[in-house]
Amino acid sequence: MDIKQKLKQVIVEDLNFEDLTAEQIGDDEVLFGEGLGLDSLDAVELVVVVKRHFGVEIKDMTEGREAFASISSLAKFIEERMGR
Amino acid sequence: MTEMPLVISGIGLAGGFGLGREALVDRMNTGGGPNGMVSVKTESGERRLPAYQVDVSEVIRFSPRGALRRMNRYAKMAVLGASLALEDAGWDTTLKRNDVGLVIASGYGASESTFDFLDSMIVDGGSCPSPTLFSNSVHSSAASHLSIVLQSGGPCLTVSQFEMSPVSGLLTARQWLLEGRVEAVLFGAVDEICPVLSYCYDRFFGADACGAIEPFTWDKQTAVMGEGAAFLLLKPAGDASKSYGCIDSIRWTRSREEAISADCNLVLGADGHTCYGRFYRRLSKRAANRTSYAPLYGSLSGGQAFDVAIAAIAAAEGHGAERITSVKYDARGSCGIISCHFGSDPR
Repeated sequence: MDIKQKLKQVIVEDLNFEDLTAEQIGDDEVLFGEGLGLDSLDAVELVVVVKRHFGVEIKDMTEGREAFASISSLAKFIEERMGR
Repeated sequence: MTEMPLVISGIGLAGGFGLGREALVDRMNTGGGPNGMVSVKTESGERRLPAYQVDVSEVIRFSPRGALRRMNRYAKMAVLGASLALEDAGWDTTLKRNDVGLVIASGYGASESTFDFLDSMIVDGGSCPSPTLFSNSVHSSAASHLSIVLQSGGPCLTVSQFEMSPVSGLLTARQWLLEGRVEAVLFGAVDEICPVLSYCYDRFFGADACGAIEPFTWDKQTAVMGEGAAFLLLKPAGDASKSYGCIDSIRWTRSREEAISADCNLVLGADGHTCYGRFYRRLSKRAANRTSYAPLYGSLSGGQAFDVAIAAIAAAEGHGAERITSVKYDARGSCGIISCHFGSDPR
């Protein structure tokens, strides 16, 4: 499973979106605010999810803000740091 | 302490028997018993234990889906019980009021989330604990979710004193009403089954933990895990609206049976645990009438709230006494005594 697909799956499962499937999340859909509707608590949860499932830490808030824009940007962020 | 009758205006129940008054009455008519099984991993393989489990799926009727995303089963049971009590009283299930207090009594709190959170700390070394899991792991999580869902701005408290939690919570509810801090109190007991509890039942009770509850068999362990929520909407006496009757007195004592009148109808909190058996046995010897409702809802520390609620419904259905005294012991001999009368006259 590629990173984007796994990200969508863990967002649905770990953030408890009971009425949403991974397939319904677009690669470039905005994650926070008007898009998927994630909020500040989800942001912290997402940091935990990324660390637990991909072993990648998000420590820098500026980096994190860019990474959290969409599934595509977060997947790119993870891919660049995996195995470092 | 000043006695002040509390009028029971609404009852909300979620248990192994189902949801609400009709489900309870159905189970009273057909006979109680566990409605499910839970799996326990043991050294010798997997064991299945009987349990009284709540189906929380109907909570969607009372809460926006977005709010449910961060709610655990423990909180969902609380929302179900509280909303059913408000509905039963003819109130809107969204309070939007500041003069209604919320008091939650729980023996063990959100135990599943608590142990999940502790496990995550052990596995991940504490480097990235889930904030949602943490907030759900505290005992007051159900009360906080409930106050958000009900849009309640009134005082909100969680009491956790094992078997004495309901009587302690009711003492607080009465005090708030006496002081005029609130116009009504939504009081409820909530407890849940979790894998650690199942493990403990298996380890402590072994093969005994697989039958039916025999409340009056004092020397044999017959407890069966139970979970659920029992809520009462309480108002000061004199309120003219719908009523099941009154809670006349609430006492928490160590003086045991001396404080209990022998000629009343006793609703015993005997639920198959041998650790309290000697207290109930002694009390039973001098009781004119006794009953136990534990076979309807299971063994759980908040059981006394179920006892009062079920006794009120039984009386309303013509199946139970109009005056009862509910008695619940803990293993150390503390005793919660709640005396009630039911019927149309709340005075």
